[in-house]
Amino acid sequence: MQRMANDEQRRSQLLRGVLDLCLLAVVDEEPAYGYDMTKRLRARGLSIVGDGSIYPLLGRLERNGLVETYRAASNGGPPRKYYRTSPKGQRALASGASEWRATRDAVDRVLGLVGAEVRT
Amino acid sequence: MNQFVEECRREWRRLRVPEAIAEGMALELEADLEEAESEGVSAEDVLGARRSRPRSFAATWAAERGVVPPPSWRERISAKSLAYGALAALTVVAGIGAALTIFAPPTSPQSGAIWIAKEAPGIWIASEAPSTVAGPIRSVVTDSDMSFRPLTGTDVSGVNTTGSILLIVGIAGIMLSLLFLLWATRHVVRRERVTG
Repeated sequence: MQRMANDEQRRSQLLRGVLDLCLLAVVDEEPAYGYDMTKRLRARGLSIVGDGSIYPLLGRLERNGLVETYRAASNGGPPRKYYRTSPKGQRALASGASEWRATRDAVDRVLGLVGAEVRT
Repeated sequence: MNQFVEECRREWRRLRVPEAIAEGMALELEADLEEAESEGVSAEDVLGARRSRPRSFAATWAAERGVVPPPSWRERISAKSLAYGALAALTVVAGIGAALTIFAPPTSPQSGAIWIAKEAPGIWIASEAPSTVAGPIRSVVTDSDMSFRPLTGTDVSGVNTTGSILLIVGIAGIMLSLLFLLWATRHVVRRERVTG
């Protein structure tokens, strides 16, 4: 039980550092409204865990000019607020993705060593 | 009406988020939660653990969007800082009052013991009106240059009264400031519990 809680906490912390990048990637692919983004993230294996919520992050992205917003009708429902990446957001996404890959590779190299020690 | 969204609205009103922006955020959230509910997805899956803390969620969202107006100077200077400032000032006042009360000469001085220079008021202690006085820059003044009058009971009682008033005002102020500080500390702790 405790281990599950720890796993969830670690997952939440890992996700917190890159959730803004994931949101940028999702709306760069296709403009989306809040819940739509949640669904698309979940479809790719990322669900909101712990304290995570996309709304404050979307607010920060909007304030920093990384996303642009517009209102449009959704499928039969009320008009929704859609988000799409701005040119500045696209540059931030490219740079962030590059940083993420470099970090991931470095962590993989370290964790790969740990895995080998455990097996022997 | 979604209770969570209503709580958020209340918090945005309290934080003085511009009404149009607050309404936009409320509608966005409400539509998302309704769609999630219609698909059988719980609010926790959309909002995470913040589902149980609407005020904290609303405050964080507004802050991240940069739509919370900057606090006024009254809000920037916390109640506690004001109380500490007042406490320091009143301690100085009480200290001056105490010094005047303690170190002021007795109200009925012996005749001729204390003299005041008429032209340059100051207290001179002498057995009789000084004929020569060494000044701060070693100037010598003779009685022909400066005349003296004996210190009267009115001068002394004036000093004593001023000292007493300052002391009373200082002590009363310190007590009031301490009470205010206690109240402010409890108020801040209560507010942190509510928003935390």
